[in-house]
Parts: sequence; structure tokens; C-alpha cells
Amino acid sequence: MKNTMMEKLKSSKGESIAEVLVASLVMVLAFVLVGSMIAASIKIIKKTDKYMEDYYSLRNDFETGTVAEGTNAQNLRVTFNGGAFTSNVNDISVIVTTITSESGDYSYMTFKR
Amino acid sequence: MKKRLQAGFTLGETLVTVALLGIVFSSLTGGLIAASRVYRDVTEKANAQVLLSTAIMEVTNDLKNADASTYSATDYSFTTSARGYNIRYTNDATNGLTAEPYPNTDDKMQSIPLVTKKAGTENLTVNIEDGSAGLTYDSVNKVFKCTIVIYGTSGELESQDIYVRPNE
Repeated sequence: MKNTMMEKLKSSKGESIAEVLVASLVMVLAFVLVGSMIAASIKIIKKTDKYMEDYYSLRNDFETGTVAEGTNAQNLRVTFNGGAFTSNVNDISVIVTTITSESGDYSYMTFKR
Repeated sequence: MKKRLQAGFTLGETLVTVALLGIVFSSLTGGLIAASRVYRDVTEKANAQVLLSTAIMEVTNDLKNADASTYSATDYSFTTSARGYNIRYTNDATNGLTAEPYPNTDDKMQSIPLVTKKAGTENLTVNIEDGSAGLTYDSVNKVFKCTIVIYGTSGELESQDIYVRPNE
């Protein structure tokens, strides 16, 4: 290993095209990896922001008694469990599910009083 | 004896090499600075989201257990069984959003930061918008309302209106 390195250092020959290409490929991969990690972080933050906005908006509607059954502007389906919802009802839960074609409906959030 | 090669690089070759190295290093430096700035912003934003959730959870706990009939629209204080005494929210210069015993008839009672320094992150501050006056009670809909704001070094990072209906 040591001899090979010394030989390479003493050699006046340049690098082969294959070596240069592999080195370039490694560098490009490293840059792409860092870039994609940053992009993924930004995407997660934006997704969390939207989730929090939807969550607190629905929770505020639930607390003020203005939550409506059906599909809302955020494409979330709101269903009541325990009868009609009014601001004075104390034993009711509101189940919110997402409606997506990719992963199907799944439970998003539940409020219970 | 083997003759050593005396030939060097031409001025043109050297200049081209220096120019290429300059371009590569400047783009690398620019990229690294941008990446570190984005990383710092993303981390700060994520921490602000966590801090906002923690603060809302604390405020909700106080207000859910509040006795709405004790709410005063003049000094914005109320009694909550979560703490066992009358409080009002203030924005402390050091600790941010704080539950202050009010009126504080007993000097031994201490103001309590809603989010401790341990739970929070350096350079982030949690406040209630408009200070003590930021908490209002709507007696028609029977809900408390306030806005929680998270400030970072660059200004406001997160803000959320919250409505809480006290348990009856």
C-alpha cells in the first residue's frame, strides 16, 4: 500500500480518465446528498407548518363550536361521533381524516370533549 | 546518471489552473455558506415549532382548568385549578411568557415561566401577543382567546391564535 502510494507520487504520469470520472462522480454524489438532505428538511418543516396550521385551526373551531361536518378547504374530512355537535355538548369526539389518492384515508386528528 | 526533467509549466497553464481553482473554491465556499445558513434557519424553525406546541399545551392546561367566572376584563387575571391560585399572563424580559400570581397578596408567591429555559432553545422567546391584555374571554361562546408568538434572532418565527373552552 505504502509502496503503491510512493510510486504514484513519484510518477510523472497523469490520472487515467476512469480515475478522474470516478473522483468526479464521488464529489457530485456528495453534493447531491447534502443538497437533498437540506431540501428534505425544508419539506418536512413546511409539512409540519401546514399540519400545525390545520390542527390548531380545527381545534379552535372545535373549541368555539363552529366545526362543520364534511370535507373542508384543507381536504380533510370531519365526522362527528356521538351525535350532532353544538358548542354545549360535552360528550362528543370529532374525527378528522385525510382524503388522499396516494395512501388512502387515514386518521389525522381526534378531538374529544 | 538519470537527467532530471527541467521543464515546468507555461505561464498560460499556471494562469488557467489558478483561475479554475479560484472558480472551484469560490463556488464551494458560496455553497457551504448557503448550506449552513439554510441549516441554521431550518433548525431554528423546527425548534420554534416545538416551543410553540409546548407553550400552547401549557396555556391550554391553565385555561381548560380555569374558572371563567373569575376572569377579570380589567386586569386579565383568572383562577385556575391547574395552579390553585389567581394568575395572569405577562411577558417577562428574561423568561418570556410567565404566569404571574395576581393580585399577589402573599410576597412568597413567585412568577412561573410557562416554558422553562431547559425546555426552550437559546435565542427563542415565547410571548403572549399584547402582554396581559392579550388574553380575552368571550362570554357568549364561552371561550378564552389569545395569540402565542415565538420570536427568534431574526424576528417573529411562529404565531398561533388559540381558543380554549374551560371545562365546566
